[in-house]
Amino acid sequence: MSQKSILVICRKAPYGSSAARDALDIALSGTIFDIPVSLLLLDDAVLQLLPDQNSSLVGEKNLNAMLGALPLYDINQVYTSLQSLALHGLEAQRLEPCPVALDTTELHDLIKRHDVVLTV
Amino acid sequence: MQLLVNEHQIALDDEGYLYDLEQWSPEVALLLAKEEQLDLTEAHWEVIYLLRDFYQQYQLSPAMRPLVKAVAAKLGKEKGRSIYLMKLFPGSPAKVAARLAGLPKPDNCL
Amino acid sequence: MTLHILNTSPSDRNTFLTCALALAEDDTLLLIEDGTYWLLPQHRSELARVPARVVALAPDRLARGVVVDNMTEVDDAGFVELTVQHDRIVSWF
Repeated sequence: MSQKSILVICRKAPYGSSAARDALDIALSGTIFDIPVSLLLLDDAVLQLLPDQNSSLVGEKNLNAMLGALPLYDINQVYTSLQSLALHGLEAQRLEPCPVALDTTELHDLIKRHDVVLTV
Repeated sequence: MQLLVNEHQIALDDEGYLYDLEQWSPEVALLLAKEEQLDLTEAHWEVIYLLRDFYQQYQLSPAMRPLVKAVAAKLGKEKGRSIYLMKLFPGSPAKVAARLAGLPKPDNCL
Repeated sequence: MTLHILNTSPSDRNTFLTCALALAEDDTLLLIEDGTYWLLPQHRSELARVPARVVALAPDRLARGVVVDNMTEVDDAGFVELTVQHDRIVSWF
């Protein structure tokens, strides 16, 4: 049986709600079942990639540190959009892990490449 | 549940994992290993310390696949194999090793 | 073919804009719940610029008193049919 691929879309910043953590948990859980998973961080979710997060000050685990483990879970690429970077005036190279920034056509292609899309 | 180490009470959750990562010491690992009927060798300790580093860096308690990958990257390909870890930590290596290392139960672990 | 479902009102512009960017030409945008407020005259011109076909969930629009001249709409059964007709669904909220 060939596994369906899953695209997890998150649009929320870390810590303000559990959404960012939930999206990561879903992505990691998918890989346990050998499901191909991609992670697309749009809008405020691109803020998950800001380095130097000191989340213990708000009593949370460091979500940015967790995202660093994605390659060990066979999620080798994190995606965002050029528009999401522009929204917050960010450069991909300054983010950690460095995301692939998609233009509109590439965004369409990414969605079409996956069987199932989950928005968290 | 509680573990008594050098007259210090160490709290364990319902499944026997440490509540507080900071309370871990090699003595704790030895006592927990005794419960699992394991004699800890150098091969065990390097995996235990690798797990503690992993958690320090990623704040995640790894499931089997990422554990195998991390072991392969840090300790060499020969050791980065499920069978090797199964021999060291029989049953469910990711769970047993995490427990001995004072980590929470692995996330997303079957 | 992807079915995109939007349920946020025009006060949340960014959700709409991000959804609009993700819309490919052969996709469908279904407006439900507060998303049907995009059908108010004030917002129609912006809505008209999305490249995909736009459909509204009639009960949600009618419940909110949003009046439209002509609009492709579906009822709940039509909603289900749309989900079956498309390869995947993306929710925007």
